[in-house]
Amino acid sequence: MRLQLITVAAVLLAAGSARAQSVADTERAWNSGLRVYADDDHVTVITPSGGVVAPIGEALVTDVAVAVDVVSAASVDVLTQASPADVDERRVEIDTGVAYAPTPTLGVRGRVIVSHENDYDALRLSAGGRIEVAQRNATIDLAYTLALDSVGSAVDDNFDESRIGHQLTASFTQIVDRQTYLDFVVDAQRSDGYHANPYRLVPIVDPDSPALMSVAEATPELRTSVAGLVRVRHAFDTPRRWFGSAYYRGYIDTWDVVSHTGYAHAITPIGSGVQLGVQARLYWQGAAEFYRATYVDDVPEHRTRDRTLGGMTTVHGAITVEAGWFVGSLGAARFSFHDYPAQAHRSALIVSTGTVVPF
Amino acid sequence: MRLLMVAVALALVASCARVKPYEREVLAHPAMRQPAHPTIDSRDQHMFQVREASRGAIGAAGGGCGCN
Repeated sequence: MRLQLITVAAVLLAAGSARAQSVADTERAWNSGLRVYADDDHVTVITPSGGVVAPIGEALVTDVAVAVDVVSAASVDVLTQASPADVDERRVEIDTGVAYAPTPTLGVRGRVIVSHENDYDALRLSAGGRIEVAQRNATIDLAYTLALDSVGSAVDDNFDESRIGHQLTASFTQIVDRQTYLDFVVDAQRSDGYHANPYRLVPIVDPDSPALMSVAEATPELRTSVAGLVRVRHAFDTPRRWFGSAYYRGYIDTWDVVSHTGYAHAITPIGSGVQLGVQARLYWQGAAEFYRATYVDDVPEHRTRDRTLGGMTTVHGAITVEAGWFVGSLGAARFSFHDYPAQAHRSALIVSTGTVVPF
Repeated sequence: MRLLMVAVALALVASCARVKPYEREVLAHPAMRQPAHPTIDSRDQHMFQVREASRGAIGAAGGGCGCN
């Protein structure tokens, strides 16, 4: 009887709501990570990170994390545009937030993310709130993010551009049954300012002349987008318990970029507190309206050589192992560019490790 | 009209069978969290955000140029 009561109490405390994790569930912990990204476009990014999560009382949680991207690149994208040699640079990101839950069914939060590079600074200020309804079977979450970007140039001290963005995200999570969640997310963004890359030049071909003219990249100042996501999370009752999730995301913006993303993830315990996970992601995107592989004769008002604005496909897969405080992931990604003559494919290997140590 | 359709859809979903707190043991399993591994998943999202043209609806991806 006592065991049953303890079990029921534990489930009540742990389960709570339709939300993934509540403020009351959060433990004080150190976390650290190391990630290595390397691709066949001669880009390597090593990212060490560390942080701490600290509940203050029963209703307040704060966290802070620092990550550093150490980038070494000789990408075709860089070398053919502006830089005659390899590029080495650092990006430092500080991410801190606070979450407050005055009642078990209500929570508010704020977050600040600062990112600094020698020629690029980014600031993200977020605020959000959530409420659980229908006897805590459903959660509604609203968030707003203000994005401020400042773009400089390592080769031109006078270059100074900026961009301001607004993002609204509404999420709805529903418990469908004892083993299933259903999530809906709608995300709207508006970004106004400089979107191009100061190092990227666009060649203009004159069929009557062997000379090649290169001009600065220029994209529309305003970009507005809407994305919608539907996700299901389910625990399967097979002889070996496993947990699966899958989502579809659709995206469209005022630059005429349309994309579809599909994702699936499965996790199963393989004994002694060890969990094995497998994930796959497929992404397809249509080109921006003004993207051309080659611009001929005239200099159009909007032009880009950014391959990420052309048609492309991404295939990504990863295996994850989680054991106690440790989590490790080995992944591979292949980016295929439908209309980028300088490079048709880009393949990458990604290794990530992380630890979360309660204290 | 679209707002009305969304409201109706949400109302239909909200009418799903109520699951009581003591019936949520499986739902509370860490493997049911989203994202499953926040640190790794956020870095993945950052990677995709700087290498693809789409953004939003999945999770915060931080800032930065990500020009490479």
